[in-house]
Amino acid sequence: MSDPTILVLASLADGQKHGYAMMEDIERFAGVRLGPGTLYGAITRLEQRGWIRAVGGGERRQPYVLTASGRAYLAEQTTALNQVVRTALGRLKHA
Amino acid sequence: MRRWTRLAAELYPAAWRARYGAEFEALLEEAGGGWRVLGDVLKGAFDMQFSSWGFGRITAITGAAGLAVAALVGWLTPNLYISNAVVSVSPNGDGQKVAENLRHAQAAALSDDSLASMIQQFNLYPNERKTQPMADVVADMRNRRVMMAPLGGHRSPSKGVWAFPAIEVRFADPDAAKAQAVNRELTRRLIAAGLPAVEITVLDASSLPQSPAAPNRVTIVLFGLAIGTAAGLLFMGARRWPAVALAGIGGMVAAFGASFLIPERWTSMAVVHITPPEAAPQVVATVRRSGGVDAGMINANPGTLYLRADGRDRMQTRLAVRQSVTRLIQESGAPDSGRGVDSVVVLDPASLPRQPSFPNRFSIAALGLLAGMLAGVCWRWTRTPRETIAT
Repeated sequence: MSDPTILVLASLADGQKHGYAMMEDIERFAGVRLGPGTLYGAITRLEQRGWIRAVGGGERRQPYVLTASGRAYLAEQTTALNQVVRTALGRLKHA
Repeated sequence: MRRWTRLAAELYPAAWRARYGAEFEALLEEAGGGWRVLGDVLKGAFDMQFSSWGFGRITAITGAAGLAVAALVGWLTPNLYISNAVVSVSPNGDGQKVAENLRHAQAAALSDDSLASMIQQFNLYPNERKTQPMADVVADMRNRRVMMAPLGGHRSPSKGVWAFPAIEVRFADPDAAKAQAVNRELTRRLIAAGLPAVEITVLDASSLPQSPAAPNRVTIVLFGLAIGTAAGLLFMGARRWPAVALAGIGGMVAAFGASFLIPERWTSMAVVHITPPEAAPQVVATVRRSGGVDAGMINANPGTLYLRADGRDRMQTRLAVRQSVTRLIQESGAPDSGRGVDSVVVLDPASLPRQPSFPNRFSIAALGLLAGMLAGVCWRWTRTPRETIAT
């Protein structure tokens, strides 16, 4: 699980965050330190697709939040991933 | 390092910097420096530039890259200088005999022994001689570097034979002075080989070429530009429809691999000149009847025939042509052969094919590419739009 877009969506699932907060949060829950270029590449794509949006205005540390469609997409992806994880864990137990 | 990272951030597209520049700078200040961060920012800038490039910009860049590569290739390709000489043939005597003697003189000047001795004498093709047998170097010289062609040849209405008032002798070499020296020697040998039957005199002495005849660098550069632009168009197509591109590549790889399951066929060919030329149709018919080897007349040169065979074993194929040529030589002059051939001169001995004549793997791979792309288009066409978003 190292897709930056999913990691950013997961980071924003519990509320708004700015770039550096996302970077720290992702490192904490996923053990992956996203570089600034990678992080803002993902933020750019997600905003273009309408899955996140900037909140506030004029601040240098710009916070972002999930949109409804972003939340739906994240739910869809994590459900599918969850199914894979449960299947793999079940098979590992019986192996 | 922070300064370098900030400079790297300037490489992002201007529109992107206008939207994200301030917050990105704030993030850089908090994230700190280091090589890893610098590399990440550079990669991000490249990706962002690349994703923002439009159709015209990418094709322009690939076109320019093709042009630059072609210019480099053109610059690295050595010049080729061509020296020319023109000799005239005395029209005295029987026209048919003159023409025949002239062909014999040409064959002698361009024989394997003659060319091999010239290669030694002028130290031609030193690199090729290190890696190839002398017979191949000689054949390459005869086929690609030397030309003896009639100028203003015409068919005599009274005698019905070809007459050549003048012959142009050309020789090409990367060294202009050497091209002239070899041309001079070729001309001398042609004149010597013609004596005493044909009187050949020099009209224009071997020229010292002032400018290279090849490579045509303008054509090379234009070709590179066209290839680069085409590559850009293909890339844009692959980026827009990756499934179609992948299907095409898959089809090409599969077709190319499958082509190795097709048995190869090899073609060997020899060129001979027979006297009198009128016997050529009879010889062609006889060779064809004997089976295994095909024959035909080379229309531009009366009395000149090709003998060609194709088979699964390249050595056997060459042997078949060689045996056919040997039989032709042995039977020439024999009154009971029934072909009326007086003499046979081998202009090009049976070749040992280097590449199979079948299958054409390039064409098969191209067809595979096309078929794969068509399959990809059909797949996209029929597929329901269930992939909502690709990350």
